[in-house]
Amino acid sequence: MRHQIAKNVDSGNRKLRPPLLSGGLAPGSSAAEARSELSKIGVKVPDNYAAYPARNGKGWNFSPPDDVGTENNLIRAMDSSNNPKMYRYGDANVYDSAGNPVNARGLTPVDRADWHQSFKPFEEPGGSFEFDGE
Amino acid sequence: MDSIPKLYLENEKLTAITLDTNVVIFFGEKREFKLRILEEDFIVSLGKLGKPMIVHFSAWSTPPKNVTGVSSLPPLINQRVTSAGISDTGELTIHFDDESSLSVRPGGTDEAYTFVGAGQIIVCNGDGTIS
Repeated sequence: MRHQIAKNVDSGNRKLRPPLLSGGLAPGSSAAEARSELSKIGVKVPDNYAAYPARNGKGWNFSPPDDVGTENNLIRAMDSSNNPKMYRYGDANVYDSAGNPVNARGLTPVDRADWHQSFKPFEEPGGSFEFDGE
Repeated sequence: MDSIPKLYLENEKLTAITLDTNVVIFFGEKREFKLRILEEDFIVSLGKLGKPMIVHFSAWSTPPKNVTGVSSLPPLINQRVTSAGISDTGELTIHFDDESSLSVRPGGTDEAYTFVGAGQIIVCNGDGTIS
């Protein structure tokens, strides 16, 4: 389904997508909500992982207690975004024990979409919407 | 507005570069700082009079396709960082003691780079925001 962008413009005069109605990881989500959304797409966050917010507060990082602040076994959950360059419903990124990106099967991603796991299956950034007269 | 993070890279030596699915550049004797350039071309200038070279390394493709400019990378090894920072548009620039420089400018979709070190994880999104 294609959508028209609402008359919604930010301070940089960029067209924004309409607010998220349901689904995905909503802005201001809690760590528990992020764990829940990750679980829905098959990414299980171990119970002992530490949760800490993304720098801008728009998502969560989960790491083994001894690896906080590194990419080793890192799981990132990004909030949904109305920026057309980002994932509307939010997305997850997973790293292996050496800090390398892996896909949902634990393998080296074949492309960017294989690494960014949308909380809404089959979504790619900007791919589900069209602009109204940029 | 979110604050722009500091990198704490000054005086650290560039100790390794790996070309795998991404270009990953390590700093520090124990490689404790890691810059992963994900989905953007970036610019390297070697020495004071170095002509800027665009480095293109297709993220994810194995073997990498249409690789250009990677010959500019090895001379950066063992160079020490004199300054490093992120602009308010998300552009990351690193200057070295031999007056070489490296810069990554976000411009595509998804993520331009991630920087890990000093206990922080910095992600530069395609729109230049830092998360």
